Amino acid sequence: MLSIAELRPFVSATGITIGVLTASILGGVVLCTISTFTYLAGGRAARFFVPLLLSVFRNVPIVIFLIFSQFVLPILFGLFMPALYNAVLVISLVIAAYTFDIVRGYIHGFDLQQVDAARVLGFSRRQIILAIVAPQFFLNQRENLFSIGLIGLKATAIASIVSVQEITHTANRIISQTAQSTIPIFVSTSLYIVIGLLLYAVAGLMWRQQRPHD
Amino acid sequence: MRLPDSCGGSSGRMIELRHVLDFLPDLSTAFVQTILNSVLIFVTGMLLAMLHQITSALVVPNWISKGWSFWWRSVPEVSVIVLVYYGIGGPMNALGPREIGIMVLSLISSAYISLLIRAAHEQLDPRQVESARALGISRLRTQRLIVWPQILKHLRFPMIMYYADVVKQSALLSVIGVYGATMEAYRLGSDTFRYLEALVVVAALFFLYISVVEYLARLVGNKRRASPNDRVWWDRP
Repeated sequence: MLSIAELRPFVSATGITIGVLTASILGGVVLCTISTFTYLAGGRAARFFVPLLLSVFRNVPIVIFLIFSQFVLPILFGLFMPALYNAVLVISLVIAAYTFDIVRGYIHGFDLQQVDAARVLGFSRRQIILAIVAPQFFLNQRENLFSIGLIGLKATAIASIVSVQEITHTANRIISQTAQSTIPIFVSTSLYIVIGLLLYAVAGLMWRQQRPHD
Repeated sequence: MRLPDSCGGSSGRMIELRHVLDFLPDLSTAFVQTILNSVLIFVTGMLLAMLHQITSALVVPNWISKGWSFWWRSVPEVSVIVLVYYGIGGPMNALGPREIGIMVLSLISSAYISLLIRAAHEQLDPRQVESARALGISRLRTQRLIVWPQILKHLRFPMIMYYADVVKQSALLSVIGVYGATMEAYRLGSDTFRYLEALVVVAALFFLYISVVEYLARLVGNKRRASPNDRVWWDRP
């Protein structure tokens, strides 16, 4: 039977997992916003190349990008980044790629009459985005955004391959140190489910805040 | 931090076509194995999803069925693969890494495919089934002639798209040493210190294959991809 002290590394591992996930989601949102504005304002070339570039991050397994960023970027540019930052960078790009696909679909399917009405009322483009398009996007795409959060959570576990000390890595280390598997497996899977439920709760909170705009 | 040159840290090294061509045959063979693994995972996942649908309709309470799906969807694939392979002993010792990996990914796939089937089922108008039953058509014939042809129509696009996801997931099997494109790229990279070429080739193979699968999904599902020429609200004067 494992003692509490032997399970203590899970505390810091959970912190690292949540930290990597949060940083990646924020990074993904920033990258997706930049991509979206480039896509909208960049003309035909941008409308061809931005989705193509991001589809690379959607269509190639994350594990390949992690190994690439860990082993190839130092050789190419002579710069070595800690595994944690590599993981955040790669997961951010993947989250941005998935989110951009949803945003693009939403942009192409958006009701033009609402935009026309806003224009007639004298709204600027910035106001149209902030007051009309974005609130409806967050409301209508809540489930999809939650799914992307889950993709990010799952990607944090892949970061264990490049020795990021997150939950899977810690569970594996405890199993190899103590030769006990049941409790580490139970604890690690429970932690992932709790973080998944937390994400779900955050998505629910967002939805409740957006509801009055509906 | 800048790496010393003795560690291969000299910047500006370019990709060499010679090594790309050298690696291509080995990586292509390994990629075929990855595709075979993904097909096996997908088919087994589909069978398990069917079983899940039948058992949840007949014996298993709804909350257990939903909890089962949520569990497999929330826990990361790589975590389950690693923990089952390294952590669970007993009868699992008789199985090799490939069998364990395929089993775990099939279970995860079954949870997702169950959701897809349920979503397709919900699109069906229940009055059609009621009408068929009222006309005296047996339950089996109703399923065969009315329900499933319509469900399959709704399922084509998401199932092919999900298969693309399974292909990406099967790359994770390399974590426990299952032979496949990612494992082979890693091996070639560590043998020759040419990670760049090996990873670029394997990434290109994945990208091309999954792009073709996505294209087929759009073709079969009759879904049009946004063209660069399409005008959106932003373009309006």
